[in-house]
Amino acid sequence: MNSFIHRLLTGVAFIVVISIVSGCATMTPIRQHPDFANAARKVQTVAILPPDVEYLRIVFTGDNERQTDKEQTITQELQEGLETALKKKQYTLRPWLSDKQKEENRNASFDLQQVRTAYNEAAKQLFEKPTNEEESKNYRVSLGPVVNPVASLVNAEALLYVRYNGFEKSGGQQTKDIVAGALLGVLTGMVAVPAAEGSVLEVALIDGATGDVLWANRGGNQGPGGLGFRAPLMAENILTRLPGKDTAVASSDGNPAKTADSAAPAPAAK
Amino acid sequence: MQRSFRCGIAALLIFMTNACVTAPVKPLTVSEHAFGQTEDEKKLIQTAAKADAELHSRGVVLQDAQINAYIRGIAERLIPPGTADAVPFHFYVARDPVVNAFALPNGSIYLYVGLLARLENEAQLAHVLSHEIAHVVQRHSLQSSRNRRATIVAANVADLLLFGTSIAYLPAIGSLAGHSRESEAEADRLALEYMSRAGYPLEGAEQTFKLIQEVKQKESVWGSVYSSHPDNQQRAQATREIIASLGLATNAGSPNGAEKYLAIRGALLLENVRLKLNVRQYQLAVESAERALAQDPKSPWWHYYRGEAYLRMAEDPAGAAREDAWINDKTYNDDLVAEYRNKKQTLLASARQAYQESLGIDKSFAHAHRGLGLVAYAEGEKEAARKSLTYYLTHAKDITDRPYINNILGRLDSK
Repeated sequence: MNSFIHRLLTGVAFIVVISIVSGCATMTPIRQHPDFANAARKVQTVAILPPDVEYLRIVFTGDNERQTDKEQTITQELQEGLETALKKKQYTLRPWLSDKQKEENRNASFDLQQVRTAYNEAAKQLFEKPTNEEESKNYRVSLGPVVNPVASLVNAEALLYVRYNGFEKSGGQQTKDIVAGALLGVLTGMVAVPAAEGSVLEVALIDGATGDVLWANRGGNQGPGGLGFRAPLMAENILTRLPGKDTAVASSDGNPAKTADSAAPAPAAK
Repeated sequence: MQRSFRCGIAALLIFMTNACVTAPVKPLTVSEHAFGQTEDEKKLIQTAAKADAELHSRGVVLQDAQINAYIRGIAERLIPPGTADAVPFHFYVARDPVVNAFALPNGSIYLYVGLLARLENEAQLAHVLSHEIAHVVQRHSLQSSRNRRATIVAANVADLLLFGTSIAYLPAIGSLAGHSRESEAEADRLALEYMSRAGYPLEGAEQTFKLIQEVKQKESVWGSVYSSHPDNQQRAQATREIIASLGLATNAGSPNGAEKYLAIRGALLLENVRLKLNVRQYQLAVESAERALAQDPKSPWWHYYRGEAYLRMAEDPAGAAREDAWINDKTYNDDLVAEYRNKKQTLLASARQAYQESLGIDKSFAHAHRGLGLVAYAEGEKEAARKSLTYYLTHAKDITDRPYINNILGRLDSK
């Protein structure tokens, strides 16, 4: 009986690994607007929205904690890394609001939050299904005019939305994972210990006038499309495949849009 | 046999650890409560303060002095005597369309716009506030935290006994959100006591559960006290039993404050519909607008927002299909999306009609012209689109979507 379970678990593990590897070979996390070339040509100025960063410490007792100091450091590193990467692509950066500007525009925080919320909804559509390289250039998804107040406030033609989720495990939790992995290894003959830390970064370039998502990408630390382990490196790598200003027109594949499931215009504020 | 033995040990450990660690927590109504003195409670209070700071920094907390003062005034009548000295109560309205309310262990209580938009009188609001105040007074967060810790530690140990297969761990995690049923039942009972003492008619409590019962299955979030339909039915029934068994003064016939509440709620209804549209809750936005229209038939805004919801459904079949699947427990797939794509003309016609009804109330209502312009644009009626959108840009005040509309006008000119 034990031998049967051993063979079964080993087989399942093998299939999962092969499926992941073969799947990743042709799939891409990049999503691009079908008319990216034309839209990007009109975009010269970009503002990086304050990154939405969450970093959690997972502990044995279950009292997981947000690491706010670490979140601040990561935020700073992401901003700097993304600024550098965008400048390399020939975009002109617009700074986010100063404290004084925020004071003068009391609704700015809420407007920003509305953009984040709208993007989170749009992302469900963007990343609903795995996509290959060819299909990845036919994503017509829009946030609508909810982006207008924010883009106007920072005087930018496009906004770069940034989301980062990370975790680290406490010593106790890591020990538990190692012991559990070893015990499972006795049964299956394979030792697999879950990672002690990890993170995912996602960015989206959004047209400040139409709300269309022009280009988006997301990735973790390892594997095909992996962005590396530290925030500055992840920030640099995630924009590697964003077509630069100088190549935007040339990069258009000219394919017609596969679907036109864009979000309709949002209502104007009363 | 060996496996059964391991499972038995695991179950025993979970039972024993729970039983041993989770001693009862004293409520703030007793003098020796020692609030905020243990390390774990200090940590909870710090975490709550961080959550407060984040919600404020994200602009999610509504800044409306009149609404805040109104809620504060009601809450002060409900807070049990003496407890406000132990914990500083704060009441906030969260700009979120979900039907929900929650209390943090530091005394911060959040009422969502989505919930306030559903309530109909002050007594119902008093019931919601009382329930959340009871969570703070009884220190349910601390109790939940201690229970959770015990459960997770036990599940971790059990997980090791099961060779790290997480068979014990995952179900334990799944049952942790929110407070226990016992805590919720206690908060329901105390809410009635607070309301009775403050002179609010207790029928407000039962009305709240009935109203929430009408809420679409998942309009409230998982973990919310209002998220479960059967529970709300049982809670309405339990309310009647508690009133009878405790002999509480029902305050029948006392004013329920409907007029004042509806006046305050007016501003929140528009906010609620706007927020719903931003999270692609189109059907729910139509329903909210129609409910508001029934009470305020002279306002052009409700027809306008009905039109907005239909227009967005027409333009976003995937979003409309996802919402349909979510609300009505359907399977979200390509067929459902195709169904909405095929309805595009019908939805555009509904949108057009709603905008025209809005103009029937006020022919100079600029936003309705905007809506008609966007419908015309979607239908390929270039001249009509240009005329209506230009009207909007020249007549509407304080608009924020000028770049969006200008972009469409630019496309019309270039076609």
